[in-house]
Amino acid sequence: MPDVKKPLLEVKSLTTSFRTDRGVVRPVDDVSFTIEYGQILGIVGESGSGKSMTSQSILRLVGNRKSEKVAGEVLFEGQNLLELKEKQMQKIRGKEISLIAQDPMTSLNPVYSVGNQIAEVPFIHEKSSKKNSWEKAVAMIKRVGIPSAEVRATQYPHEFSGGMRQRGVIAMALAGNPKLLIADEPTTALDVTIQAQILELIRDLRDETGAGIMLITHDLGVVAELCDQVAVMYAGKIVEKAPVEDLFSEPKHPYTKGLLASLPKLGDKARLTPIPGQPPNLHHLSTGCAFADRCPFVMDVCKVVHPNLQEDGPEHEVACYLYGEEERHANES
Amino acid sequence: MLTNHEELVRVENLTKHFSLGGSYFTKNKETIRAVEDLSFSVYKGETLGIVGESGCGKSTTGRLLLRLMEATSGSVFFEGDNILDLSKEELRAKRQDFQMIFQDPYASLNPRMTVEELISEPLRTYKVKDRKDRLLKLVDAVGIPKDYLTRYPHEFSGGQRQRIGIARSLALNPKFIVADEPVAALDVSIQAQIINLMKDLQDEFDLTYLFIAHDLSVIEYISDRIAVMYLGSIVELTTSDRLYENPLHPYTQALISAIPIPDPSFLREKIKLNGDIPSPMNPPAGCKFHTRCPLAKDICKQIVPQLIEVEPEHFVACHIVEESLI
Repeated sequence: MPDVKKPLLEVKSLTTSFRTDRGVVRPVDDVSFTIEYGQILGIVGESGSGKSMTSQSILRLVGNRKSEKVAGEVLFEGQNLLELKEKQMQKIRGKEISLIAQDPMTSLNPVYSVGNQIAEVPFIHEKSSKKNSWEKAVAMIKRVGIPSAEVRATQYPHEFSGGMRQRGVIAMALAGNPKLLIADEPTTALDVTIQAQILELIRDLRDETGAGIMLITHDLGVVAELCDQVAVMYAGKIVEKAPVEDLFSEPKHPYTKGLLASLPKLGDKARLTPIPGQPPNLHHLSTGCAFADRCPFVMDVCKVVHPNLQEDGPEHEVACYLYGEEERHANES
Repeated sequence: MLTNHEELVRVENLTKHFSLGGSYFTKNKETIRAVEDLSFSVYKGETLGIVGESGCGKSTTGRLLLRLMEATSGSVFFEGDNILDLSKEELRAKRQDFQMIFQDPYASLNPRMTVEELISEPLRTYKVKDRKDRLLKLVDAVGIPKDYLTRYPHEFSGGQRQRIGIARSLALNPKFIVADEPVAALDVSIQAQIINLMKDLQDEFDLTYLFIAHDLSVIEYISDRIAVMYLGSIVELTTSDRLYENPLHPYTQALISAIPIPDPSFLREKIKLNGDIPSPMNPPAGCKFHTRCPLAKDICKQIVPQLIEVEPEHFVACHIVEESLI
């Protein structure tokens, strides 16, 4: 039974830094969030914002080299994953926490049949017999909505279409009955009608299994359709965090507002309002707010000190001097 | 809104088949029917959007129109001349008038050329006079600072590279531009910059666009008219407003209902399409959409529906819609 008091995943001040020949960069900088059982947290941001690096840091897929450092705490049911030995971590990956990556062609091994790759999960993690593992794989394939599962299980990834492959990857991710599912751009490589099928599948599986889901995406439409909570990332930091309805009805951070304004809306032909400028280079970040250069409301203080993520309204947090207590500080000085 | 319907490009029965596999020793008769019997016009000054899922033939159509690829049959009339009949020399002279903007700004720019060289290459090729002047006008029009002219493509972000690609395609003052997924590789905030830029340039340089994309919100925003393609055929063609207000083809309806809307309070009934897009190698007989169509009847499995005008400027290829008119 899950411990009711502890959240499923609690990430505290997660900071991932890389030492490069051009200095130290922090693709993930002081990131904190929680995911409850059965909750879908969306992490949105543009390329280079650190959203995928966050998931890789949680799974400890980075931080194993000398030049890489992951600091902070990743509490999974109260246990800090960053303190585990690699052997212990292997028991968690694929079993307790599993990953659905963006490109199903690269996350499936082309020389093994799809069923084989799914059967590996119960075979390794549950020490099931070969026969039971295979049966479980076929059952998983059926569950994610692939017709004629027995035949499909013996086929290889190249015999599957894009949407079917992604279903196969989802089947593999679910084979260990994970408590936490990390989906990194799960529908980006897919067509809209197929995307709709996969999003529905993810939602149904959440309802059935009660797993928590961390959904990483750049598509605000997908966030609106699927997520309960949203964290917006910019240059390695979370700049805003809110329940999904609030984020869309009352975005606070100028970056979030800018993102929403730059989307074309159906039936509205008014001129788009893009965010001026380019996303920052992580090698040349100032000590201030990384968005300051592109922000229409920029103040002097923004360029000097990065604002902290502060509550402004119920469950709604924003890192911007326009809001909350920091606003007063800014006005005083 | 468009008032004059002067045709700039007219496409008639355009077809492209690729033959597949086969080697010196084995003859393989399998063909991919990428584009089948397309007929449509592009009006002067408009943006015609082509939308569809992967493998529907939208990119092939764009390339056929510019003759970057030879068609199997059919004709493409550009200002009255059939481009597909032109000799090499004639085509080369004509090419100034139609250009392309590519999807991937990383792959479409030569990494060993500076911005100046990249943009003035077409000017040199066509021996345009006052090249420096033209170059400066172009970089100014697309918003690249002049002091970046000596830099190389790798020094730019995706959005800026796309600006360079656009400047290149505008260099020879073309009349018609095929833009194949020009914003698909860009981040949302940059995407809006490029879309606005393309709209501004269209007004400034009197351009006609064929805009190919899979993103329905983008297509709806930028296009005057939209053609929806499925497995190599146009299933619906009408003005952008009408397509979203009153889509008639069941595929268009499903496609529009599947767009993820960035508004959690927006509730709607989604039309679910089961299954995958069939392979263009063995497209289904009759209406190619019948295998996934929720309304399919017997006739759909046997007879290919024709694109007919069901109301002014609204063309649909569907037996069910056709029947409902009678």
